[in-house]
Amino acid sequence: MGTEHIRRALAQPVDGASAAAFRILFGAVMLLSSGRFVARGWVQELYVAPSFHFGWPGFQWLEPWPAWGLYLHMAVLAVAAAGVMLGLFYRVSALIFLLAFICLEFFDRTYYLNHYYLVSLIALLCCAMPLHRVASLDRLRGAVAGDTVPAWVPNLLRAQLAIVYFYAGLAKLDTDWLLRAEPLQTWLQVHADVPWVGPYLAVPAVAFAMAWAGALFDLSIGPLLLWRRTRSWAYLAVIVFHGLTGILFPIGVFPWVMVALTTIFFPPGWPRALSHATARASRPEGQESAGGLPRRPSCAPLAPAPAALLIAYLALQLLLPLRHMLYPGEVNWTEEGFRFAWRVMLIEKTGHVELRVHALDDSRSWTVLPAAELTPVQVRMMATQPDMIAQYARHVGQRFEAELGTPVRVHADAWAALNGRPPQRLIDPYADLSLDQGAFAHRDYILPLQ
Amino acid sequence: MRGRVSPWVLLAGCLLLACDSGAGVSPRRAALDGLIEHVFLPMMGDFGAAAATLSERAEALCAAPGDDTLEQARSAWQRARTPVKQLEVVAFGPHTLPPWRLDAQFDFWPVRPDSIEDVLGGDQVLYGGDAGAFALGASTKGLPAIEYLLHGPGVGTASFETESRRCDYLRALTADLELQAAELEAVWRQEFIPALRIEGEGGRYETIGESFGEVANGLGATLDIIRAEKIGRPFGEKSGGELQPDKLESRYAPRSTEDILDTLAGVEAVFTGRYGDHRTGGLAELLRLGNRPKDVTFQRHMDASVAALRAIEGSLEQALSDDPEGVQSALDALRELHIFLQVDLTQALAVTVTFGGSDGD
Repeated sequence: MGTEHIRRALAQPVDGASAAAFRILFGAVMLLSSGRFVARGWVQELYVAPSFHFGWPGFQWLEPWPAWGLYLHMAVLAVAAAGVMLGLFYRVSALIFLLAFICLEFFDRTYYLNHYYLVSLIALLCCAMPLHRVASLDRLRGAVAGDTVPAWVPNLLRAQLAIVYFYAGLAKLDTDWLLRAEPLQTWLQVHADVPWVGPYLAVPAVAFAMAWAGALFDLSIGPLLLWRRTRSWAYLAVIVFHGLTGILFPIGVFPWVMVALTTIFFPPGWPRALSHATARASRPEGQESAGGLPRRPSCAPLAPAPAALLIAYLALQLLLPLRHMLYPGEVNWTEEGFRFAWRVMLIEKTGHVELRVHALDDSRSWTVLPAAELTPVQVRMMATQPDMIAQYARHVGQRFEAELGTPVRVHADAWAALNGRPPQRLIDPYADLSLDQGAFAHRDYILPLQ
Repeated sequence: MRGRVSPWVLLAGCLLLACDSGAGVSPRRAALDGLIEHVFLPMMGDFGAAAATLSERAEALCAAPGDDTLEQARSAWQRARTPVKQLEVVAFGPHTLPPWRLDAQFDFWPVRPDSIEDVLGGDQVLYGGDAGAFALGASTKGLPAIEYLLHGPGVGTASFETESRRCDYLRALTADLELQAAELEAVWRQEFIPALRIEGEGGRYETIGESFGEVANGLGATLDIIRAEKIGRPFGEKSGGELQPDKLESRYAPRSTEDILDTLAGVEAVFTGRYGDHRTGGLAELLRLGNRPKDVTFQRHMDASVAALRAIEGSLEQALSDDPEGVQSALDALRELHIFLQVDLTQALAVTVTFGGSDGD
């Protein structure tokens, strides 16, 4: 009885206007982002120029296409984003966008970003959601009918975004962030030339105030956006917060993504209300939850299988960010369980790594400086991430074994500094990194943070 | 609702205020301007002056070959090496970037004796008008080629008395070097400095943070080259321990160790802001302003590296085989300096290589 009640509530039709706005804004930002990626020369710099790519475990067979293929890939991505935005062949467009986007991410994990992960999740949800029932070309061409979407649609999107904020806030409940205001102190002192606020940013008290305010924002913004009475002010806070971080930090389109996506917290009919402001002003308060359309009669409950999928998805989203607890050590240092966990803006980490290759059948040895093969961005990202160091060590080991015809050991002389601490060894220099420890196993070659 | 401030009105007000704001000179911009004015440009000026002197001495040598004129030409070559090696600390700019790639025009190393011998034994026009030396490939021109002509195996006064071709080649190369030095400074002044200072639209860098980061990251990149190419490769680190003395720079002079010391002096100049009589804040002052002084640590690593290099007995070529412990000590000290520059310094300055690129987090 209880579950049926919930499933019935989830299936309850609500105005599809806010879902349509979400679709349009998401597609527009992704279209802009695709164009920006090409215009800035990142296709060449990030995918064409490197001779080695850090593939994801299990997907190392997936190599970037040749240059022309990559530009074609970006064109497909942009067209698919436009298809999502316009609601034209929406399901196909969303699926193509998802596959093209994930494929691009899978080419090289050097470029993993939390907001790219969020985009992938939203694209996945888009494939499963009828976001094209309102304000779409599919609607115009008669491929889809109806003005409503089931209530689980906006609610799942809200839950997804609330999870992002909540875990981003939870990760900030940490001594570096709260008691040392790091890495904010380091980052803010370099922004003295930012208009208006610049001179104040180098003041430590400002860094502390921003650290605490940032944690409070992340932890509270989900509930504040959900509560009708605080929603407008909370959304203003979203704009100010992401606007400020967008000015201060190189986070690209992320602020735009969040400002666009959080509109889903408004009532389902907000776009109609916006366009009929006068009519909305005269509407009784009680109608807001159903949006601009009158409430529909009760409907059939959400089928058990989709409901189970929905729960499984949410459970995964709730558990995945906590998996770092399965590994020993400070996650910001070891980075075991760091990705896919919304641990954003938490670390200023620098590193230096070089490899020593030893032939097993004689005393010959070689020193390999990664900069000889990798791009500066790859070197920088690898030097602080133990799993990438090990991956590169295996690559170097295999290359030497093929050239020499004899097995080799590969050791890393790897140093890193985290959030203003002095440099210290990151990797046990005696560990043979040519041995694969598995993608999910604890990497015992990572030395603990002092 | 009456009497309450709408969030949207507040947002509009904030945007208006933000648009009406101005920007002051940031510490990074000041540090960058100081380095350009008091370190980089003076280095280039010294390169130009040294190239002119070398050209005069080459002319004097060819006009009157003798032990003293040969020695003066060799000394002039030595002095020209110093600013060129110091300038490696800014090797990220017109040195290596297209369309300029100027470093190959004046410092292509290691020298390729066969290519130079081909020119010496050939009959192509060396210098004159638009053709000649300027059309020669990078491997047959610049300071390394001049080194080979002045210091190569068996070269003495007699070489210039009897080989007119050697003199013609030397004249052409030194004249070309003068042009290259002038070209380097001109490209910096007219194109690259405006790019570093973010003057005008569509430059290489979008913010002072980016251009300053390029300069600061240049220190670590310089150590990369010193360790991997100037010592590591000849020492066999890339060949399983097999020594490769032919990969040394300035091996005929021999000046390999002094070249490295000069390169380190360039790194020191950027950090301290002190170059000759010139004084600016450098990176050190910026760190002090940010209450993260690194002077002592930097100097400790720099002094240890310099001391270890100076402790190498004889030429670096000899030491590769005769004093491997000394070479290894130098590499170890340089490694410590390298880690400091790439980990500690970049952390303190928050100039890690961002996604040259793409976005973060």
